[in-house]
Amino acid sequence: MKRRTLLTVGLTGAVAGVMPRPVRSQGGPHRIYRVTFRGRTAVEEGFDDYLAANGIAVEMIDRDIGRDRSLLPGMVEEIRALQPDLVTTWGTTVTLGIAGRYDTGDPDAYIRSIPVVFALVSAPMNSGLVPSLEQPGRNVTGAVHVVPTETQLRAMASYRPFRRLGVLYTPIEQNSVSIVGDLQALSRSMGFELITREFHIDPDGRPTADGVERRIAEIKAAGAEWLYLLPDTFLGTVYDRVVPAALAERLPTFGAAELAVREGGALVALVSRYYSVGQLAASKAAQVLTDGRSPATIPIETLRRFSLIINIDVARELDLYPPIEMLNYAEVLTG
Amino acid sequence: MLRLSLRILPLFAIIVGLAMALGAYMNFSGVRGAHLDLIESRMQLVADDVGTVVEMAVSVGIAAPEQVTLPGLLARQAAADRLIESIDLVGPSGIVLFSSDPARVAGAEAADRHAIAVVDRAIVNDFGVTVARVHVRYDTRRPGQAISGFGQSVLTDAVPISLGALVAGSLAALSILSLLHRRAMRATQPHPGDPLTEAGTEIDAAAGGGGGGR
Amino acid sequence: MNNFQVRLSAALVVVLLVSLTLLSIRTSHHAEALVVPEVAAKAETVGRSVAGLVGQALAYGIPTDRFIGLDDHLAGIVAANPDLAYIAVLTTDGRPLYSGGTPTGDPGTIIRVAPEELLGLVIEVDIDPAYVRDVVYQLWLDLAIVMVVTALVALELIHISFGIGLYGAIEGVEHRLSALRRGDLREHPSVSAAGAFGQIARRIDDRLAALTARLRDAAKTAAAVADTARAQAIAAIAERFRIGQRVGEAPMSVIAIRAPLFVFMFAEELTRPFLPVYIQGLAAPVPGLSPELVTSLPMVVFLAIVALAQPFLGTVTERAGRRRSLIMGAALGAAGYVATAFAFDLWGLTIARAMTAVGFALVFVAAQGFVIDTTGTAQRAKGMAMFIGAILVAGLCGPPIGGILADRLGMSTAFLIAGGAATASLILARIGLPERAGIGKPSAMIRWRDLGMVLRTPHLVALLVLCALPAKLILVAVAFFLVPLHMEATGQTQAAIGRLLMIYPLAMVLLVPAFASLARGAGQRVRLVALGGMVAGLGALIVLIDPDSVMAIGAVLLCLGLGQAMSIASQSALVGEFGNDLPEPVGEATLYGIFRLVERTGNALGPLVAGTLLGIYGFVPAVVGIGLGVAGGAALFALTAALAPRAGSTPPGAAFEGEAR
Repeated sequence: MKRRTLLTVGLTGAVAGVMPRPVRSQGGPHRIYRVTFRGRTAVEEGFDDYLAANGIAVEMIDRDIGRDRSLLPGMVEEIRALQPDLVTTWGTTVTLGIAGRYDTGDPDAYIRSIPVVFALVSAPMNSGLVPSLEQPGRNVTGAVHVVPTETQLRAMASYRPFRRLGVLYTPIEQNSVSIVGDLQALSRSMGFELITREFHIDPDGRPTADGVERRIAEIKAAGAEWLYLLPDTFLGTVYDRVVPAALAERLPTFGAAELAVREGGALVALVSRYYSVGQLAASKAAQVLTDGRSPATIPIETLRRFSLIINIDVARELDLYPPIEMLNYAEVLTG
Repeated sequence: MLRLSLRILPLFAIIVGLAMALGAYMNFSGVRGAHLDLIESRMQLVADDVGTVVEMAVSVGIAAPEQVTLPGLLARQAAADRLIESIDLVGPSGIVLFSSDPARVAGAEAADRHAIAVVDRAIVNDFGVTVARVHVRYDTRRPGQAISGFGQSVLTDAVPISLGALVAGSLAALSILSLLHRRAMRATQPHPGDPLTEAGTEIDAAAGGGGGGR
Repeated sequence: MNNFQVRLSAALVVVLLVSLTLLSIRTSHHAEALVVPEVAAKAETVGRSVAGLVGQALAYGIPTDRFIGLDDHLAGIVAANPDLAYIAVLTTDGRPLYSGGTPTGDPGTIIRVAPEELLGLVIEVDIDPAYVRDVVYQLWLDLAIVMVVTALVALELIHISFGIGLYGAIEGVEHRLSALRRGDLREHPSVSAAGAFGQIARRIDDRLAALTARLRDAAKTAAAVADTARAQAIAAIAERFRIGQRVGEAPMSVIAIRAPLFVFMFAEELTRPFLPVYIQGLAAPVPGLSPELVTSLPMVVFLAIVALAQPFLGTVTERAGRRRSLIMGAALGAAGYVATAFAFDLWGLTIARAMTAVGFALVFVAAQGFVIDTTGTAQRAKGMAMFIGAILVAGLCGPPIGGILADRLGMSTAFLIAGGAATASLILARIGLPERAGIGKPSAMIRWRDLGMVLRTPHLVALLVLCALPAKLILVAVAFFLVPLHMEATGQTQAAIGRLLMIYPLAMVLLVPAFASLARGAGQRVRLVALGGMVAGLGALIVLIDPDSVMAIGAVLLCLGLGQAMSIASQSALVGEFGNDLPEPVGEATLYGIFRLVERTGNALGPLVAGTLLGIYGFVPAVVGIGLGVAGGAALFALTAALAPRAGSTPPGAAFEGEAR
């Protein structure tokens, strides 16, 4: 599924500002050890395309854990044995499993010296990967895909202004709790009312989808005009329950992940495209490989511009069409 | 008088001529500016519209549909406006990635001959880097010709008017000078109302008469 | 101005105005034919663009009654494009579904676009007929300015084109004729020029000489025969006709200064519309100061140097020679303008302006000194009037041309052109100015003692501080700093700014003579000064009506000009009058030197005050604040004059020596 076209190569080559030409720092291509979470995604496409467009010859060692965390220590061993020039990882779980926290942990259990470039870690500081985003100060850097909450709300409001916002989240997920905290703060500064509900936690301490429909009905009854599908891991697995429930209540849904709108049926989402995140990660990898910079000095960044995705069929169902100007810059899903 | 006129009139004529030339030039220049601005803004509109589409494509990555329609879009836009030579999507190294004119693709963007003007719109990717530029190349010969035609009309009007101004001005100057000259010539001779003659008469009277008042 | 000059100038102006008007009429006729098709083409492009968006929506299956926000989108396009009046999406039967703007109803202005993908919908775009009219009107306006400016510039050039000898001869003849008309039979300074007029002058002189000889003979005869009655009669005749006396005036060689002075002042006036904007472009932040204040600094430096240098340069230029000083000043000025064009940061710019300031001060003082040198007291007023006239005309011509140059060629190039003008001034001075010393008395330097004395004289202080200083402050602050910056910020072209800046000098040129003749008697003068200050100050309040409207700003500048025109002659005269109150007499030159120093201080304070207020409060409060300050000062002055009347004094016949700027 490699889709390298003139457009891609030309445009991604432009990022480095040079014409594609082979670059060899030491004899032979660079060796990159890649660990993915659930197989090959658009992140990897973007990553590979960037390197190809910039003429960085690479020998890629691909490994996938298939959502099984227990495979990670074995990969650490393999990395030690193979001594690649760079390691690239997908997501928080994998990255923590390979590189470990910066402040604790047994140095031998993790990779501390080989450069690690990640993609899709939503909270590098909160999860203890690095002490600082501008100066990671260790062998880890990468690209974050999270869209700031405020940006999400602004996009939501430009689609349709709102006075009351509903959110359904998992109370035991630290990231979600933190985002809800952000929402509380924004509710004051942006002037809206926040209506929250939590997923049911079963006696084992795990969230379940029980009572989802009731919770959403409550949110709607409280006057919510949007349901914000925040980047909550559990929520990401139950779109097929949550979104139809919202639709039944004629409550528009705004997603924070591509999945939510592409397959989940949300009305609209503001996302970082995985492809672009992969490219951004590759640009950092390139800095390590060809410029010889240490990851400790390469800042961890998000994209500058995010993508708005609108599901027109849902819009039709809800009779809630987007402002026509949005058609200029939003991706519209049809059919 | 003739010599004097020959000295003064050319200078006067030059002044009037220069003033008329300045006025005519400013007339022409003002209209030309408005005309070219209109054309450029129209081209920029096309560039911006194309740019929006391309930026969407870049942001989406490389979804197949967009690729297919881009050359078509460029061709359609270029065909819709007769002044447009081509609409190109150019990489930063100067290679033409897409174009409404298939012959230009994958070639380096060479410097154009003078008659082509270019309007530019940058395509920025998701992490803020300019990855390409939309160039709308348009023919400035046609507007140039129209403007020359306009210039010709201005000139055609300006020449007779200027000549008229020159003549009128010179005649005015000449007549003013002649007037002065005539008055001055009168003063060199005794004439009715001439104070010199009056004074002379009075002196004679005073001197000629004997003593005392009579 | 003598009859000949007046007639020639009038003839030139009339000829130029008529011809340029004819040319403009023809031009606008052709312009419409050229421009309208392009407006139509652009309207079509806009229509296609809108059609693209609508087509996209239709392709996504959005129903035609669900195009959210399309009305606002269309209204936004109309607002952003002055050449469009109306855009609408129409159904197949012509009913507007969405629209922005107002339809013109004129079929000649309607463009329709209906590509296939619109499924029957039609996009209508109406061209604003007023747009083409506005373009032509703008052209008219520009041309009117050009007409006036070229007529004035041509007038100035005439003064150099005749050459001193020829001009002297014509003027000599004119003097003789007017004298003869009055029955004044004095002898005139001889005219040495060859040519027809020289001959005529000499023939008149011969007649006069002959008459004088006859009278002398008659007188001698009468004396010889001791006929007292006859001698008395003859003496009476001599007295009546002033036979045997000489006219003490040298030919007005002072005219030689007008061309170099005008051209140099023209150079500085060119820069008025865009100087603050240019500075702003180079300004880097200075910690602790608002950016607006930083922008004012180079202007303050310029004006301060001019203010402070003037008292000293009088003697300097005298010792070095007026011509040489003027040439030096023009060279410095030219270098300064070129340096300004190439300046790449604020400090470089400030240094360049400082250089220009020294040159400016040199030229000004040298020119003024030249006028004083070449005119006796009787001719002084005419000489100074000509001096001021040249400066005023430059102030009238410079800004609009400068604005046009800045728009077309860029500000840096405009500065280079100013440098060229300064160089032209240098050349004119070299070929036109005589070096020989003149007949005037040397100017006095201002001593601290004199200044101290002046500052202790209440009426004089009130006049200087409450009226003279604020009058110049508001001029520079509003016309040369705040207005150009504000107009540029609201998107006006430099040409528009330049046009507007003509209003002040135009008002001055037209109104100063009128109010000058009204300025008789101390009471009247005080009233005029106070009233003028209040008109200028309160006029600033007009900006409250609509700060972005060109008309409002023009009205403010008009009131400025009106106010200053009302008060300037009276101010100048009052300086002389109040000067009589000084405990010790101070020379007139010194007194007016101090007056001018105070005025220049007001100049220098202008950008400082304006920059500070602009940074803290913004444009409107700054203008209003300064205006109220000026009006308040004038009112206070009137109060002090009313409450503490001076002991009556005979108004001295002070020649009008104040500047008109």
